[in-house]
Amino acid sequence: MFNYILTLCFLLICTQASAQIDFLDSLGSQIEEAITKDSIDRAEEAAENADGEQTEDEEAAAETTPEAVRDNLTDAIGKATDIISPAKILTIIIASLFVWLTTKGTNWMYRSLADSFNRRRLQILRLQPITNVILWVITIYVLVVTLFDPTRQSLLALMGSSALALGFAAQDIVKNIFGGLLIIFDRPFQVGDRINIGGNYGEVVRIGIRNTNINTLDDSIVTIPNSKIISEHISNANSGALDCMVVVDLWLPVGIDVEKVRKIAFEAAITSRYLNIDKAVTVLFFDHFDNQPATNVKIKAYVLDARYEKGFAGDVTEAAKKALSEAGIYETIQ
Amino acid sequence: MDFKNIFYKIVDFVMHYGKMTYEFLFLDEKEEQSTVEEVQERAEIPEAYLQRFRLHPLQDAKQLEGRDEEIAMMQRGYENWKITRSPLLIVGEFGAGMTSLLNASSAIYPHARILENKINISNDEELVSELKNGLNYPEARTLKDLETLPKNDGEQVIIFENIERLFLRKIHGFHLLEDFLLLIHATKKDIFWVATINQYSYYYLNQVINFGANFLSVIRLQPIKKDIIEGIIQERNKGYECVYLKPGTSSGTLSQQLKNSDASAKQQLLKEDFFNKLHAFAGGNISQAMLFWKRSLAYVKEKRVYIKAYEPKPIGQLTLEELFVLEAILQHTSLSNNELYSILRNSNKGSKLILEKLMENDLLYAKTYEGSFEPEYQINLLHLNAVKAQIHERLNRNIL
Repeated sequence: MFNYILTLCFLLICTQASAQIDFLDSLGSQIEEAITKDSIDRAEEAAENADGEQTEDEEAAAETTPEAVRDNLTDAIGKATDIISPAKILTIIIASLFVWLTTKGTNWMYRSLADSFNRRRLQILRLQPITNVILWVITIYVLVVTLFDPTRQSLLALMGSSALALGFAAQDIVKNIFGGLLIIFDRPFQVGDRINIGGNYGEVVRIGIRNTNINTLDDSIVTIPNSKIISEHISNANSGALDCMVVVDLWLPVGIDVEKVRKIAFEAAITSRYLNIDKAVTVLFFDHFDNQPATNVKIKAYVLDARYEKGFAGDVTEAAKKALSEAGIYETIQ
Repeated sequence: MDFKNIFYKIVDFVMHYGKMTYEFLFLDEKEEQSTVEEVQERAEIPEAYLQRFRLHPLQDAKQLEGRDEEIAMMQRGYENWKITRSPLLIVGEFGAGMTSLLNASSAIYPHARILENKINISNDEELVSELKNGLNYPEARTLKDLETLPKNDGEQVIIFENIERLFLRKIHGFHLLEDFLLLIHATKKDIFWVATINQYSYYYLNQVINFGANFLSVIRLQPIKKDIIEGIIQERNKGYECVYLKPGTSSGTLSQQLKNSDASAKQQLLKEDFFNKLHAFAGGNISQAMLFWKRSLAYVKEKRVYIKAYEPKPIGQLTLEELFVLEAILQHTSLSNNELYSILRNSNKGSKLILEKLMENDLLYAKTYEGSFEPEYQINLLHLNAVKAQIHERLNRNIL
């Protein structure tokens, strides 16, 4: 919806700016014409009437110039009314509404396709923001060109005035928009990736023009402005792949039977339903002597889909703890 | 990226939802009535005729068709063993005719003993009890005893069917399989071991414990050629004339061609269309081909069989839990509820409920084997392809 409002604002600025420019153009040319006409008349009269009838002519010229200005003013206002006619405004509204609905439709289509072709889910979803940007750019371009047919000068003037207006009034929005474009085309992450930004970890569910939405592990949607994202460090867990590595930590007493624990930890991972069996499972041991001596067992494995990351970690931890307990590993602490 | 596959998937997707919408909008009473009539007609098919297409392993090597290459490879495997002393592994799809192949192997291994395993072996005692009979060493009490087997005069060939029955996907569920592999390695000098495994168990075990590395020779059963499958069906249909009926859904081209053809040309067209559908469904799997034929029988009148191509019902979108259950069953060939419960680490009642739902949807069937106290759940071959497709797509498993 924001895109829709933004487009409308942009097009209305175009309309007003075009009207002003045309009005100024026309006013300028009329004044120029009047001045030129006046100079020529005066020169001719000076040549013809050297006897000093200048005062009468000056008065006549003074009488014709305000009329010309009035006529020109009327003419320019008429042109401006043509430019910001209700028909054009209605066209802009309908076209923008149509494109907004189309983007909603394409977003739905991408979501449905992603559900049906899970293995290609991420490739499909990454097309979504690109399509939206392309649709809006084409719409704005077509509307400006067909409705206002701006000249080069007016286009430059329009850009200048728009930049000035946006620079003062909406610099944060502009920053976000440029941030959004950078994310879409530079692709530090894509829809479906698991990223950590500013302490918010979760799945990217939407990359918008202004901000990006992340679905965190506790199922909250966090909205982060794109300007903030481009200035932050981002860690990406799967970088466009469906699977991602999960590290499961187990804390055990230092004097454990390493061989027995390794077997249990390894089997806990390879028997998990969430495991990506095409990638290797690693079990590592680290001893810590900070506060209380303990052995940290790290089980590194890939989960079949990044969405099941926590499911996998929970499943492996639960199974390993149960088996370790049955094997009497925890009893060695006492 | 396989664009052709993606294109076909998109077409399927559009067709599927188009059909659903059509059915939702236009399915009327008339169509439901015709389904009922079809069921009544199916009931009229004589049992004697159905028996011809019963799924059972062949006992005689002469009856086995389309497996010449595999038999030759088994022969080569035996020759290799004489030099390398390496065991042989045969990998196959459900219903691909593994047991028939093993029965037929008696031609190349006349003294072979086949140890058939229909249910999971859960402990050392059960395994030792099975092996000591097969190895003719009744005194053995442990697997260690079997490793020190007294030498026989001649060479021994032991065929261990369904080696996947030795593991259960749970913590401590692999030790029996590992012990058995150690036994194979300890005795391979004197015994030519041939083990068989289903392709899903092989894929899983290979990835997680590098199972395939224990076998120097691995034979993968290939799909049976189309003409051989057609020949087998014609052979079993001997004495009956086939009349092919227009399928429930047919392409516009076929309908057009049928309009412009005479009776015999129509039959030829319908026959071609039928067998195209049969091969697309079975993909070279003889059991699936037989099931397709049986499901396509409209009715039998005197010595004339009326055939209308079977159209598999879409199984719909399965839930993640259901897919995990089906995957576990594929990896173990069949599972009881208790085994499933220990594999999925969920509640006993929870796994039972999922099993019941899958049974209701005809995706599984239960069978109680001799020596087993509870039923074993197996995948219905009619829906195997659809189940595999969903596991591949949704669980990202490379099993197609």
